[in-house]
Amino acid sequence: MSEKQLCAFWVGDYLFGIEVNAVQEVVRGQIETRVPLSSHVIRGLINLRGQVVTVVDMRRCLRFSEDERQQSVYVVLLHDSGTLSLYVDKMMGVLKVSDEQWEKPAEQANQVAQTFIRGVYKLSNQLLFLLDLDKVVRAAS
Amino acid sequence: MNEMHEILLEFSAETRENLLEVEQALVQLEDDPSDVEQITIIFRAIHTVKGTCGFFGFDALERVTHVGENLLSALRDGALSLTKEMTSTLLELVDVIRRFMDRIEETDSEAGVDINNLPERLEILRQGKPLSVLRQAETVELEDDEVIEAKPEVVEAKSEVIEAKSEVVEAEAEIAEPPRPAPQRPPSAPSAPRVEPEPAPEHGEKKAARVKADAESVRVTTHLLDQLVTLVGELVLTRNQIVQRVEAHPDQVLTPASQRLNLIASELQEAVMKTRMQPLSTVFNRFPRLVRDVAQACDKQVQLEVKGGETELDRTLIEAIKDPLTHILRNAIDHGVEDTKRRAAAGKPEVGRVLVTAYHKGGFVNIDIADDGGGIDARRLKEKALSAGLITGDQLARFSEREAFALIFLPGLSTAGAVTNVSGRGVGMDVVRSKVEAIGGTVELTSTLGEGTTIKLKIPLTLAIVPALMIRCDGERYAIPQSNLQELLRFDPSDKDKQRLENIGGAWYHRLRGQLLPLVYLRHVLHPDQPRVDQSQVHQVVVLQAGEQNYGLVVDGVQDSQEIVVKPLDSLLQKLSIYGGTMITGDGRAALILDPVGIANQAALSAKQVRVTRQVDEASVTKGQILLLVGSMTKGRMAFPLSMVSRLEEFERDKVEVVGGRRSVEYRGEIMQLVNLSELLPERRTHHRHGVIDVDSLERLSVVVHSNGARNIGLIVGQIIDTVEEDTRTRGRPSRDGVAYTFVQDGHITEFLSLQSLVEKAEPDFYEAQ
Repeated sequence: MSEKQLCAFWVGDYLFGIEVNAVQEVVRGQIETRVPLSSHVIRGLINLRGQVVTVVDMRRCLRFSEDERQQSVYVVLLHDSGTLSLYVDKMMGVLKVSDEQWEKPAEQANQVAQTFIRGVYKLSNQLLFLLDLDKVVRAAS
Repeated sequence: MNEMHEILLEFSAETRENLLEVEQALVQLEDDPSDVEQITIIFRAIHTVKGTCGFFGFDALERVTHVGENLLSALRDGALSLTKEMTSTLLELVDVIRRFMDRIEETDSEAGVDINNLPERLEILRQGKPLSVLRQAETVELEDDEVIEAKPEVVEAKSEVIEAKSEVVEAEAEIAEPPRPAPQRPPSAPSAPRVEPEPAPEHGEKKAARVKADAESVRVTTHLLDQLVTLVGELVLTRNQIVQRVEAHPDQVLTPASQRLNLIASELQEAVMKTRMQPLSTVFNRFPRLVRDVAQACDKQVQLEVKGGETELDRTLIEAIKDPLTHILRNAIDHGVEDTKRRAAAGKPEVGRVLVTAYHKGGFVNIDIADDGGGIDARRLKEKALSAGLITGDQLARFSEREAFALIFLPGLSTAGAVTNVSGRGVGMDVVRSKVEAIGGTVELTSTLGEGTTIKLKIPLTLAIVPALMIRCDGERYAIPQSNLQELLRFDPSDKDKQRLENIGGAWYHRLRGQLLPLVYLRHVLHPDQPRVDQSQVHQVVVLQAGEQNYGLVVDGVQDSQEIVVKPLDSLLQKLSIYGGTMITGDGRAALILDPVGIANQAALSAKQVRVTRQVDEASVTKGQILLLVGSMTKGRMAFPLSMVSRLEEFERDKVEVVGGRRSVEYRGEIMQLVNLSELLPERRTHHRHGVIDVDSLERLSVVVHSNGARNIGLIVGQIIDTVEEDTRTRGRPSRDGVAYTFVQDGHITEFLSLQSLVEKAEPDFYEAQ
């Protein structure tokens, strides 16, 4: 039985996770520069200590209402396509999950959310959706 | 082990450098076989490789270089004269040594390199026999037709030959072996002591020279250099933030410190950028060999001439244009230059010429590749494009000759009648264009049927840091590279400039000096869903050059110019061709860099709109006053009315007296004060990249003499550039005190000086003392 550490965060009522190794850092309160003509899921660009990083809005990705967003945080990750930042609601922290809790994506998530996940971990009182970064990147480009 | 690997890598790097030299020398030698100097160079280089091999115990490499050295030694002593066969075989030796280096770099060992029967062939040549001796031997044994056909000269077909040849080695060994030990050893044995003492001192000298060079230069990995460039870029941005902050809140301790930081960072940046520059000869040096090989494969005679190899360019850019240049050159020989017969029939010299010229012009490195071949038939090109379905018959009829030549850069179009070994496979000029454009360059082809073809590449000097103009659109800031910038315009269509704005066929144009300039509204491009711009409001126009065409980009506002560090566009945004990259502004925000070509495409600035640009009445242009354009000591550009200049003078430095910190010179029987114009102006941040010229280090001073009617004052400038007519509509906001406004002249931001106030700063009573 193998265990995995996931960085977990909230988008709306959903808890998402990505491999902790992929996460570079979590930052707040960035000044964004809009990128006209880009995909609508791209919020813009931020300056992360001299590096220009593209910000993907997870609420827009998942077609959740933006009006309901009360707080936000930038999860900066390393992906094959380069450094990328996800704009999510709130951090939950690092969680340990095991293969036993793993399930293929099923009807637990809404349809849109399903297209962005690789599977589900059933936690004791919560479902944790494993985010498929490749799909997020594809939606953004 | 690791240390050994390092040493071996050094050996191979050095050897590769030597091989480049050998290659060049060989090709040069072929043109002029009497050039003993070249043989000496080749001999020395091969000798060095051989010598080092012995040290590392690379026996196979030592053997093959040894035989090569024997042949070279005979050539040098005049016992043999160079034949084409020899050149080809020696070039093959170069290739084989390269293969050894590949192997050694990978495995630290020389095992497994296929050297073919090269030593045997070199030996036969050394005996003064033609290689056909070998072939006769082959045919005797094998009676194989294929082998007879396989010419060793045909470099392209080498792989096929290798197999055939290796079979032959054993067969030939029996025949060639018996006579070899006898005649070969004796001459080479006595020749050894005769040869050695001679090159030894030379070699020693060179060694000494190299030791000296080593002490002054070290090998540094390019990765480390790239890292330095990135870090310096960040340092400069951080410096900008600190300097801005300190300026707003002066502090006794921090202000001088930040000024020093400013200076040091600038110098550091300049020095680091210099480490990236390389002369183009690093690419050009490969051309003679390339041209020779391709020409032989095509059975043509081509003479290559290269000029401007010393022109320097950013290392990454050199790397990027290597393939396109090679491709263009191959094309020039394969498709451009005709064969000897046809050239003779056309009354041209039998030997075709290809001329490669590199030079600096307008902030770009230009590389022209010209051949004197058959040229391109624009009509045939159009027909091809039509049959390939790339254009419609309608378009075809309207195309000008230049537009037709641009077709050659479309994917899937080759003018080669037949697909040859060398080129004409349909991958071609489109790849060249995309590669050149990817680094911000342009490529253009002109051709005259029967006379030849010229391809012009325009490459920006450096990728990493470029001067750019900041503009505003819908609340965001964008950068436009200054290399694309022609000029700035401002006009008010609601008022006197009404006639300047014209609508033709739904597209907007601006009348500019007798031309119609197509207008592109940046808001419409970036925010197509937003309401259209009110055409009657004041227009801020940035005139841009995109490829061959100019257009006016209407923006919300024009800000200052900055030196920006270009960062590549995130892969998520790569398909947005309107952006060329990203950057970070002085206040630490991310910003996008606009790509003028991409914007023109996005705005569908159609060929139709460009073509409407016709001559209109010249008289509608307002005439401004004549300006004198000068370069400052910080290499910036400044201008002031020519009417304020009484004379332009040059003074020798030793004529200039310095008393109490003031410079003066005897001029027309009176003492005239000299002031450095740059010292009168406050330091401008955007100039931090340029080195400041030290006035006291100049042998001659360029001086603009200004007079109040009775007294003169001499203004020291960096250089006198030109006189131009002022364009009253191109004013930008002043950049600093003493500057009335800025404008763009020939792609340079130029400061229009308030000369009077500057002079008063130097001599408060100058204008009163009449």
